[in-house]
Amino acid sequence: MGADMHEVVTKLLADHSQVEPAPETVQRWVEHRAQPLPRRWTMLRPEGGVAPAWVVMAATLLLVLGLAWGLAWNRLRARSPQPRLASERTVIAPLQNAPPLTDEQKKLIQLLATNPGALATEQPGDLERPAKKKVPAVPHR
Amino acid sequence: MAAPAAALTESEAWEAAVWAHAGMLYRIAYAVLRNHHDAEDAAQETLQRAWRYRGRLAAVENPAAWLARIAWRVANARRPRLGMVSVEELNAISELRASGASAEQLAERREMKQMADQFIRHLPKKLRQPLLLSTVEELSAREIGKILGIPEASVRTRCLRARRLLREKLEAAMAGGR
Repeated sequence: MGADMHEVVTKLLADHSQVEPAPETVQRWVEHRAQPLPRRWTMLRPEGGVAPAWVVMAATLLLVLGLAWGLAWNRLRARSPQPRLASERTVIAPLQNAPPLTDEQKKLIQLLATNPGALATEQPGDLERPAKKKVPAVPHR
Repeated sequence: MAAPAAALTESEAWEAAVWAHAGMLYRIAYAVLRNHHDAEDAAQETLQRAWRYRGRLAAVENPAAWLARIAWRVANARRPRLGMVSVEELNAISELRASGASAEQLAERREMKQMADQFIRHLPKKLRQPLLLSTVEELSAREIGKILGIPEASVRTRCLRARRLLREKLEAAMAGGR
């Protein structure tokens, strides 16, 4: 069957485009050589040819509707002022005038003011422990 | 061409090219469109486009390949949507096989040709294109490669693969009726 089908395919392909234009057809092509070419957008249609009138009307209607919508949207936006970045102002205000600081916060402030380098060696929870009382240095006699 | 190319005007050179290659252009268009009327329109449009650029014709190394490339593009732009293979066609082809017809008889039958057309149309694009162009006898593998922008060796390989695929599909369609 394989060799049989090989012959069939060969014959079918050989016949696939064995056509010849009539001489009068070729003469017509020669005579109509300078005719205007179909517009490029009509080439988008799979079957080619000129687009029907309703397609042109629908496309025009869509275009007009699109333009009208664009104009209406612009006017609507112009009527209601939109916030602009330049007009934005941020005010930072404390919730209370004198917020009470926790012990940890106080220690942290003190540490930052006196020895900020110590923060590098601090462990989590160090600030919560009670601070060691400093023993005054006793001079040797 | 009877007169030397240099002595011909652009118009005469164009006309000579038309008469020399009209058949090939028509066959390319027909191979793609499978319809005489559409193929005529496509061939005419090809020649109109060639007329527009007739000034380049004198500088073209291979006018046949140049025209073939235009015809190929025009015909593909006009190519109709793919149709599906109907069940009736499949039944018709299996009945043909069951009738015990020889390979020659099968290839002559209209149903078989229609079926082959349908299968060719449904081949993958990269296999279908070189196969279609290879059915136009004036075009060599090298020219087909130039039209499609692929190497000559790829044209040969793809044609072989397309033929094998086509044969398998036809065999499967025929086996379906047994």
